[in-house]
Amino acid sequence: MDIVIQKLTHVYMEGTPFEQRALTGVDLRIPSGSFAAIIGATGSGKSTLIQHIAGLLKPSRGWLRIGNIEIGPDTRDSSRLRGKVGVVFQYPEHQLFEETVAKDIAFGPLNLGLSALEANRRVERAMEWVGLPRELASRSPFHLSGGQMRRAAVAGVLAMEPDILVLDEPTAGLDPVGRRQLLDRIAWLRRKRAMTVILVSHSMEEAARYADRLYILHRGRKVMEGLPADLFTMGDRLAKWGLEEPEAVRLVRCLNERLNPPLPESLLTVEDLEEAIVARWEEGKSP
Amino acid sequence: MEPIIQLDGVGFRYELPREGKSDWSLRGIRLTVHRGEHLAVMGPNGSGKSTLAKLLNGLLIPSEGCIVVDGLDTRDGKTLPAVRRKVGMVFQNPDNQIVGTTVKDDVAFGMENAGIPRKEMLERIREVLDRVGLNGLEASSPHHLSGGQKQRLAIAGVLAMRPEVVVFDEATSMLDPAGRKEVLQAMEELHRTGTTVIHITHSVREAFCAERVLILENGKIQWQGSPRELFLQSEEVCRWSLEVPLAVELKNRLRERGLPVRQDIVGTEELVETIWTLLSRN
Ligand SMILES: Nc1ncnc2c1ncn2[C@@H]1O[C@H](COP(=O)(O)OP(=O)(O)OP(=O)(O)O)[C@@H](O)[C@H]1O
Ligand SMILES: Nc1ncnc2c1ncn2[C@@H]1O[C@H](COP(=O)(O)OP(=O)(O)OP(=O)(O)O)[C@@H](O)[C@H]1O
Ligand SMILES: [Mg+2]
Ligand SMILES: [Mg+2]
Repeated sequence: MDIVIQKLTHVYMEGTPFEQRALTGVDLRIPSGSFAAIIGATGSGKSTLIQHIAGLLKPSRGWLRIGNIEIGPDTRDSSRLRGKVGVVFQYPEHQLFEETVAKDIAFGPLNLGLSALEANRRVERAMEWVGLPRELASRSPFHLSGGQMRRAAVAGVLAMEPDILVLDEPTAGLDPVGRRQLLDRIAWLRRKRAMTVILVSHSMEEAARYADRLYILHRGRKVMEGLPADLFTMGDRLAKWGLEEPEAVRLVRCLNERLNPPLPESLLTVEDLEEAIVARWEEGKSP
Repeated sequence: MEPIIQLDGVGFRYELPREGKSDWSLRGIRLTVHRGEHLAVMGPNGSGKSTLAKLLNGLLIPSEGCIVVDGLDTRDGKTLPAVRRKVGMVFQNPDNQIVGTTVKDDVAFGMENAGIPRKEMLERIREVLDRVGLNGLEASSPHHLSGGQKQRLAIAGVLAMRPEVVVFDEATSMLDPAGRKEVLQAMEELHRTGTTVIHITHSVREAFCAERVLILENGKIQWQGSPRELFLQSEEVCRWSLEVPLAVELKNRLRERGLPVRQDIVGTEELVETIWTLLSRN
């Protein structure tokens, strides 16, 4: 299911004195099966955009199409998206509501009409995927640590096995190993199920490591899209949009200020860096 | 070094709605925080960091052991308001901390509750907004601020109470890179001017700014020392669900591949220097 967005404008509380324009004329296309990252400074419109994809907001102007479902300003019913698009919201505590962690995670699958047995199986599997210890299944989701709460919210969405998985800052508050494991798991699920993943993140390292396509928002407009290797090596322009280079890119830049010939700029992760440096070193050893 | 907070044999268990008491979320904590110190607290999810933070300002009271803040025992109900004034807290979600309809009202809120006279209040508002760099925005609605500005507003509200200690519980984790930088600068400024800063974080880059790092795991203090010492022991760091800085990870990988890179490198600059030397020599 491709996601196509055309001239999307969203104005909160339009026509009131509190009117707030959040998106202006956004055009974009996310091909089915992509791992897309949406990045941009605070208030640039990321959460507003993905709430459209989730069918929770309607465009003020313009339209979007997900598979064969089209949503415009006059669309009455966007519930057809339910079950297809799963969203992990920015603040997970707004998403949890059941009496226990297990019931909370089972809610989505049961709502999709799955049997209690199957729902149960999915709960166990999702808890394992997000690294929640089993003994927390019977705990109230409001009596968890911050990171455990976020894991529970993510598990609830993964258990629905949506075609499109939308993640708004899914790793904020997770410990670094948990972050890595969660995103590795999501990348694996995406390959296995040909799922589309849309990640909103303030971590340039995450966007660089996992995304195959990057969309940059700035003050409600899409200012750039393309491959991470191209966008993350734009230097000063990133800062203009309130972003920064991934650490690996910064390190390469420091090295290249002195190194002749320079290393390729498109090294985005520590693995890329390792390979490039080792290759150069071995080259030098055997002239 | 003069102690500002002392914990002796502190343990804590939560009250659960159905099951009664939870397991120990913290156990056997002995810790002295020094006046003016910049301490980072790290550890896996659920290891007890936020519980520790809430114990420090009396939001939670130890199930066993005791905590003394600048001479005041947090178990003593009468001194709790004083403890809360001494130890301010800044949390993760900036939106949840905003109470006022303007920036100025928001800062005033805590002081009004504490009965601080109006004249003094106005002076303090000016002073703290200046310190966090929000002067000029007094009449703005907090909801129109950026994430970094909201967090600095939360810090201003805390500073207005003239706390001795400010605890940041993942206060940067929801911010964009620019916002994170703003808050870290505000934190540095506090530390420089003598306030004790306790910073709970999952970010190694942020922990690097601290003088001492404390690692919690399973409700116990597993390790403490300087950031540099911490990142030299990569294996343990991984066991504690943390990560090492990029430069350290790259160094480890290069060493494993047989490149002659010194073991004691932790900083980016040192590593860049080393790699440059290596690659230009041959
Ligand atoms: N419910 C709302 N009512 C009115 N204005 C809103 C609402 N939600 C968001 N806005 C405004 O719309 C703009 C875009 O907000 P949005 O939440 O989409 O940004 P974001 O890129 O997700 O930011 P962050 O990185 O801080 O999460 C901002 O100016 C914001 O203040
Ligand atoms: N309100 C609560 N009721 C019951 N148990 C709780 C409550 N809050 C936290 N716990 C439990 O206490 C332990 C410590 O939690 P705490 O919130 O202190 O962890 P943390 O180190 O801050 O984790 P995180 O990195 O996820 O924020 C965890 O096992 C957690 O499940
Ligand atoms: Mg958002
Ligand atoms: Mg916590």
